[in-house]
Amino acid sequence: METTKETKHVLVIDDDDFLLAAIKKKLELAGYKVTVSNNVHDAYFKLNMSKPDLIMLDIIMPDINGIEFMHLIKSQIMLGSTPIVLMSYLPKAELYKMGYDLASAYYLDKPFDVNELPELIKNVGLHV
Amino acid sequence: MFYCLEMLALRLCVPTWYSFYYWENDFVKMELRERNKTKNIPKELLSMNSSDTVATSLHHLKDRTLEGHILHFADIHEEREYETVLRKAVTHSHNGHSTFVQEFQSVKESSLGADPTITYRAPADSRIYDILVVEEDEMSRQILSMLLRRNYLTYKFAHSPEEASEKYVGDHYRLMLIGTDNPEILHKGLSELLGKSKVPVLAMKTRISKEHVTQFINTGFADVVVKPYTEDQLLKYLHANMKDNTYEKNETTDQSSSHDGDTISLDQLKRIGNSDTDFLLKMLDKFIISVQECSEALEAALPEKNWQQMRQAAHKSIPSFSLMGVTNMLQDLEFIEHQSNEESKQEEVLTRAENILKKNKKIIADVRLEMEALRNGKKT
Repeated sequence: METTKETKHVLVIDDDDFLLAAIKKKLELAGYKVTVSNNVHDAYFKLNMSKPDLIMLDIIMPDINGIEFMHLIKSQIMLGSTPIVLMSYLPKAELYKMGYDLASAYYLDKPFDVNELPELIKNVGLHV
Repeated sequence: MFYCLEMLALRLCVPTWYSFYYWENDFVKMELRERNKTKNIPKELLSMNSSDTVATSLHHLKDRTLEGHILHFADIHEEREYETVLRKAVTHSHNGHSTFVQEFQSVKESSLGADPTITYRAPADSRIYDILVVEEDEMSRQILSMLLRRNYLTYKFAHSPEEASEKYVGDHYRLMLIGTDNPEILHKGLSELLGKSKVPVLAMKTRISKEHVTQFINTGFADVVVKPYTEDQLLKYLHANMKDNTYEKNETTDQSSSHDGDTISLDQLKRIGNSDTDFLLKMLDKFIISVQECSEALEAALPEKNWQQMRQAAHKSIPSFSLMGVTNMLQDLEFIEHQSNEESKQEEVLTRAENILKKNKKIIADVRLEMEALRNGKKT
């Protein structure tokens, strides 16, 4: 992934407002531009408004599960190459058994330490 | 049966990798035909080419035996092939799976001509792994590779502690597994690696006594996996050490001395927001709302013994309680989330839910006190 000095944009999608606020604050202090959505409809709208450099996506959400939404995102020409970090409490083995494929995304176990997020994002290749 | 014998005869007559490849494919197809008699498998699956058949069957059958064949099929090819197999399975399973997807898919397909099977691809090199395996022995690596892959664990191999040190700096892992049968490994940067590691490190060793296990643990290893191990034994060791999130574990270790886990702690939030008081107040306000929602959901679910609602309430509350450092409450929430389906555990689920309701009242009172103190500028 390219590394430039311009502000990188992260879109975080999670139905937990408390966690969203914490992630937003931490990443903004680390120098990222952060947009948050607590539902996929809003996220879909925001994705069409501007293309983020990274999407963090909760798996278990009320309207649609994150993996299905990920497939929708990946099917878009403009968004297909955007890296996605899936977040969930479900063990990966459970998700595979449910028939889901995580091969096209990074995976982050919940609960994670929000303070470690900037470092984790760097490891995905997204530097400020 | 006759088909199986026929295939076996073919395999014996032409024992090449090429024929083995086709024999395996036919074997999977045969399994599908057999199962089609009792299960509702779409007929078109049986006419697909080999990889499609394998992939689709993984999703449709959810059968451990056949899954074993599929994994074996993948094992005789490259790892990349295995990923393709899994990916194809999901691509099949997701076509038209959700009305939401269908709704937007139809709009986007008409405007962009998008097709999930075309643009769907994996990143070249994912950098969040479950395990970093340090193993010199080729055979051990192959066995581990098969077992880890079969259990959906992601991993990277290093041939030496020096190589592992480089990989450890670049990537994130939840556990390290080091083969220690070769005594020379001690001279190859093992102690530096152990000193550097912030994740649990397990040693693998052949035929080891209890005294030696103690020595290993004193050296800095979390535990020793004794070779030869069964798959179950290995998984037990791995999951016992990976069950908590590594980053969370590092963090809570620092907090444990001053925080009992029954009350809230603002340590994490302060670190997140650089002790910004406005941010803390906003978060505490949101936390009160989460706790109230949790209580309301549990109060509604308890009289009706609505296990699903209890499970959802617990699931939704875990992130906020975790961030607020109420770790003792987390145990109750996780128990409710995971054990509500178990009939034998449901009495305890009820007890724990009632316990949470009691504690929530105290937590809300504590949070309000904290907010007042913050507003008065008594705390930073």
